[in-house]
Amino acid sequence: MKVEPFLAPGLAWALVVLFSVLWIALGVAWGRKGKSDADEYMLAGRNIGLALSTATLMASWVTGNTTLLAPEFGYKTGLWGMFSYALAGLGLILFAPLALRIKQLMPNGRTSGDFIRLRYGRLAWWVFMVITAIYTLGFLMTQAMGAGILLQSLSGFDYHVGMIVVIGVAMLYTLYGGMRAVIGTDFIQSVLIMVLLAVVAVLAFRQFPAPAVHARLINSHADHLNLLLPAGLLIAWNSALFSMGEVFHNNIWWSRVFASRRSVVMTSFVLGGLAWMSVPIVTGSIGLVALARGLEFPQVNMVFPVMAADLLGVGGAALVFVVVFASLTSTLDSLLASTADLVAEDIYFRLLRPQASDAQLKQAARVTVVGLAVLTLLLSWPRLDSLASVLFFTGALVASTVWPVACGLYWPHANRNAAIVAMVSGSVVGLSAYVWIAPYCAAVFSTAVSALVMVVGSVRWPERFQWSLLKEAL
Amino acid sequence: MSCIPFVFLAWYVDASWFGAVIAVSQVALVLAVLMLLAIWCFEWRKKRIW
Repeated sequence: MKVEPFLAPGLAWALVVLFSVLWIALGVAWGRKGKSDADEYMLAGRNIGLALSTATLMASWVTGNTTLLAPEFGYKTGLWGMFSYALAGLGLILFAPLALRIKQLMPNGRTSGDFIRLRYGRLAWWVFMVITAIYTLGFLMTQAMGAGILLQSLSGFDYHVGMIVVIGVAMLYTLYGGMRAVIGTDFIQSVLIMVLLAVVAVLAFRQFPAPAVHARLINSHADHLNLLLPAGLLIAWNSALFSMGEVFHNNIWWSRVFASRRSVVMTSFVLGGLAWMSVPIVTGSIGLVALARGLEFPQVNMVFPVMAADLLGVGGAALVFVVVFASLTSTLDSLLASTADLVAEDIYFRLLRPQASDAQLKQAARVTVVGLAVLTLLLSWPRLDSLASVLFFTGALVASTVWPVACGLYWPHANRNAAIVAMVSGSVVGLSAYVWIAPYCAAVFSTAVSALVMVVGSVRWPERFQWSLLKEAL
Repeated sequence: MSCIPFVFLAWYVDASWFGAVIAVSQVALVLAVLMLLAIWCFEWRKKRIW
């Protein structure tokens, strides 16, 4: 089956303009609410309720990959592919108690970098910042390239035009509205994504019922229905640990903790994770329908859009286009806003200009939003088609931060040198496993080594950390 | 589910379980939307959105 653009460029442009104007207008309007200080711009006033808090976690975690890679996993590896992808929701759920702990220990904190610097010192902070910089740039690039590739495949847009449009829209409303704009638009985007996905899935299975899909698969691809596929089990573990690394270390999630009301923060992570887990299973099941129908795809990550267009015509293609556009903008806005917060707070304010005023800090965050958008465009300009390998590569790095972060929050004896060695050794071993064994076991090795080093080092050389230091120094 | 001995590492999902997985995932997605909207309405009435 040849993958050709199946949405007329005119209709695609109309949808882009409609939703771009909507996001920017809402972002600017919400950005005018509240005070005009740096806390308001970076953390939306620190009083977000449960609905917005849950929705922003959902929307940020539903990336272009969730709508396109999960169907590919379903198509290529079957049920385990879908379940493995869904296990990435564990990252949010397991972070829930840590989120409450962060809120208690650091009521005035701003970034994940603040925590690492205060808990483990400046050297650990440098190691952590290198890891988070590599991960964030990789994440930004995959989303930007995904935007260019997807809009080109769906509607024939030029790769660079699609990329510029998506990054430009996300940058504009983040720039003018700050975190309040990001969280507000995330609510609408998450509802839109879930409703449209449910519509596509229900209509697809009405045309090709589950018993018929099962009957075809059991005859032609029985392994896709095997729940004890060895590789599937390993991928599932890797997926869960990778997602824990992503959530535990990245400022996207820490900024949501600081922005949310204390009474809702733990519940929102649990609900957000549970709600998110249904998305890859639903989109992955579309991949199984494609397989049962005997369709073959030159680009397997296009399973979902092609199936939607094939089953539901132009309407289906338009639905997928909107889902993908919302997924990409909701993830990019979160990345831009939270990374700008990290750069402004940790590098500009804490490292370079501690005497900077509140207004200067806010201005630094705004300049960083634009700078990051431009940097992402430049790095993503040459097109790479293998994005999954970039993500697995960063998994080796971020998984090494899980135990230093978790131990640092709960265990006063957690040792700063052990944390540094844990992050470095976990990353090195994880990357070695990525190269010498298989990409999908990198996070498993990284987490295991990091845990061992962290625990042994802290038991052998225990610290006596005073939790009050996290409050007082901010 | 039809279960082949574990040593072969195979456990094939039968049609009824497969149908249940598909149905439950779709219902969960719809419930997630309804939950979000219900919480939003509740908080909006209490002026606790932001």
